[in-house]
Amino acid sequence: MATFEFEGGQVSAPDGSTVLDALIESGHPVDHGCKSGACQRCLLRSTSPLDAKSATAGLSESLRSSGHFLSCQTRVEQVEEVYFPGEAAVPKWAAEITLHRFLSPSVVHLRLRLADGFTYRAGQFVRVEWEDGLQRSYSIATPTSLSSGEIDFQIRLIPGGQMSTRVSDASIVGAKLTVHGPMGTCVYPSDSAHEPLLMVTSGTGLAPIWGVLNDALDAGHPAPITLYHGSSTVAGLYFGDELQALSRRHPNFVFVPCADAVEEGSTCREGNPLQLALQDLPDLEGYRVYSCGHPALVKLAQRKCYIAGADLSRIHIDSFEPQ
Amino acid sequence: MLTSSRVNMSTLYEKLGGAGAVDAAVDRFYRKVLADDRINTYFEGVDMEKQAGKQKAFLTMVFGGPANYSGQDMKNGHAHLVARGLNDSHFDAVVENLGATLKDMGVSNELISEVAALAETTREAVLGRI
Repeated sequence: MATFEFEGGQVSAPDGSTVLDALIESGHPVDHGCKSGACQRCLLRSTSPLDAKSATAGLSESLRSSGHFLSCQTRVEQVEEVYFPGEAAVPKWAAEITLHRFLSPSVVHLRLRLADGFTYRAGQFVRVEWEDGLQRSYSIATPTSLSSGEIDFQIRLIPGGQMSTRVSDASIVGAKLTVHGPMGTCVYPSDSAHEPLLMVTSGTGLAPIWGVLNDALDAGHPAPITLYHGSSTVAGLYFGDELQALSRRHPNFVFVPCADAVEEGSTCREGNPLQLALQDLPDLEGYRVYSCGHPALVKLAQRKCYIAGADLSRIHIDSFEPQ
Repeated sequence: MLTSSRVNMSTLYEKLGGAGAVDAAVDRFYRKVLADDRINTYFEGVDMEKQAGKQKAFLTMVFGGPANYSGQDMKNGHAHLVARGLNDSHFDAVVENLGATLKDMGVSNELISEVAALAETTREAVLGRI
């Protein structure tokens, strides 16, 4: 058993339990979301900064140094005194939906206008809170260079899903929301011009990739960039025309759409985006890799690309955990 | 016996170039382990960055550098894997990958045997037999 202090009271839990689980089980209602260290909703504060990397993974330096940590990624024996996070630990912004359209039968494009002062890097994500408290995290698909107070989301609809039902309705234009963030490190570093880039994604994992890709092309990235975008069906792919247009304009950018089953004569490759990528590019030494989307694909991509020679610190992943 | 092998090991640690070279060895070693179908299921779902840190601590120890963890740590850290069937054959596979890593780096067979012997001292703890 381990014991720590929470807001002045004592909490005990078996060694190895997460701080979040220990608090919930002892009757403290701590707000939380993905339980995977991604959404930062379960953020709490310790009296001193935590050493463990996973406890603060993805947090800004200012949050980390002020003792904030992800309670779902921190074990009870790692903390002593814990408090609710400081007010505005993750910045909040008023926002309004300004555009709604379908990119494919199952993907919706939403645009939000945010309050003045909001800045981000393409590939980061935000947590969106509706007036009734419903919250979801979405990647920012807008290239940094187009930053004009508005951000775009590409949202996959899940039949019957609570949020999907709401988001598929065009009358949400004008709805007022609160946006928390931005968060995440899946971005294009300006000092990586010499590095070939490999991007592997499926479904709406394209959203952050689209932003990062445009950032790289806007910066005149001279090294090769290859994007594999997969879906189970060809109809599930979207932004194909936009991506083809980019590859015509930028000879160093190769776009490889792929699907599990394709008809003869299709411009799509048949297969899984990761398998095809590793088949084409078996040696990834020196590469910078981006993989976003379904957790199974993203985690496998991190491992396989590492085995293929990519440096672990140059593999950026954004796993879309079920929300 | 242990004392004299420690002396040789610290020579190896320095010979390899200290912490920097250990980083390079960790990288090769971890890649081999993840690519090895005999053992890679035990690494599924782990945080790769955290795991790379642990591999580094392990290799630093078997090269005779500073040891940061005890037998009890090794036992606790692997208990959930032993429960999933981790056994001597998996331990052998890890040692084999370690040997292959060192061979790639041009380390002599004699020194590889010594590293393997030091790795061997953790077997009982890793497999929960202490």
